[in-house]
Amino acid sequence: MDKPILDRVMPILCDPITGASLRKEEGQFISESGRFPIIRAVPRFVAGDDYVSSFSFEWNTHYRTQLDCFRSDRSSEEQFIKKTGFGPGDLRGKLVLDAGVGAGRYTDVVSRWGADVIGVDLSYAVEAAYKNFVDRPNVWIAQADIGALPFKPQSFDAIFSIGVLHHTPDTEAYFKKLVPLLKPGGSIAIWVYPKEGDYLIRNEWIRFVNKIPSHMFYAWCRWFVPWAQARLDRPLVGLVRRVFPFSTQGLGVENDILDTFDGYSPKYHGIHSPEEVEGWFHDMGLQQIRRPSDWKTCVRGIRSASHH
Amino acid sequence: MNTESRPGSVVIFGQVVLVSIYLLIVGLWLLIAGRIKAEGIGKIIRRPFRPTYAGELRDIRHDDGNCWIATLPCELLSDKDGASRLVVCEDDRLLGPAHCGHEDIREGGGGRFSHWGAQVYFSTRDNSDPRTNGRRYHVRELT
Repeated sequence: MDKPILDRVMPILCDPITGASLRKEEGQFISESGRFPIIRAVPRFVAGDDYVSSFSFEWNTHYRTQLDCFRSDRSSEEQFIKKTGFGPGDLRGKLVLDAGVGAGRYTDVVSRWGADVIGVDLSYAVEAAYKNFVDRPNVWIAQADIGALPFKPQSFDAIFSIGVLHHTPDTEAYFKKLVPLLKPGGSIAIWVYPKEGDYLIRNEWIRFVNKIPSHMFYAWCRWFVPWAQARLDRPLVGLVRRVFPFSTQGLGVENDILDTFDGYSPKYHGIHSPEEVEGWFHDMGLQQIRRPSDWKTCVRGIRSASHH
Repeated sequence: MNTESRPGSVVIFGQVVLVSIYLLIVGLWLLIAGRIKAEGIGKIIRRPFRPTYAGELRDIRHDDGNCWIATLPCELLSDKDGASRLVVCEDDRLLGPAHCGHEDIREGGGGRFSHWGAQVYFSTRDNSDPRTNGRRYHVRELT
């Protein structure tokens, strides 16, 4: 049975290549120019998980680790508010795009706030997200590429993409693909890796580490992170931590294993200055550009109401 | 995605060893090539070959709020190098907690301290002036 949100999704759906409208028919979405299957209840607008197989692995392994609804805390909600500046009142009843949904940690927050949320991801994380939100009537999940999304221009009241765009081949170009999807007056908020601290160090490692098969590096993280965390006061572990920064976020060891794997396994790992990110917002004619918190590369802006 | 089938413990052990060796080689290369800086590495290598340090805190000066600063030998491993093994004593009582943020020491006091670079940032147990309260302040390195 279709979820109620589909009534809001159908009018904005289109062929990601031609822009032709789509209709739902016999387990697939069809346009005059293409067919997009629905496999295991998730619409697929891409043929596979391309360059993001590490995310397919991690989010299907840790599909509950970071979601507040399973953790019984508000850690993701607090982080979402800090990184986007959005509060519950800003998004209630709005149509919102989560660009890079993963297992759905932020879709969980925003859908509980009362927004209708479309979550897209290039990876098979969509399997995890679908499973997490199968009973939530205001969430719709699809496998799609941020570089070629199946939505018509000016479709969304708000878009957020937290910790995702730097994992695309071109952070700036993929950000700029999102902006036209905003309705005039709509808001977009992103966070990308900053060009500082541990991110600079990981940037040196990543081209070596992402060559390791995901299951092997994950097995290593499962051993290493708890081992190192139990020895944080040892000088040698302190040195290792400076050379190979691993996660100690205080959200539990499972989160830290996941976050360490996440930090070193992706194919692409863009790092950017706050000025650079703000420049992309200016380039796209966004207004009221601001950083919602002391996370320097979190930037938010509004599409001009008179934008065409 | 099938995440149900798990490899056996021997296979996992083998994977962990292989990845550890690979990462060790990559890490050494990144250090030698200067792609990653690790200023404390020399101190860590020399640590087992030098005597454990112990001494009085002298030339104590006020930082801000409840925080006081004294200078220590620069060859000691500090929190800046990864993890200090220093304890600070007020007469015969240990101060703590250690590894505190400097702002936390300035505001909270109460014995908090931090060993950072060639300095120890510390507070007294009752937030009195360590130069005039008549107590003795000394440090020693844990082995």
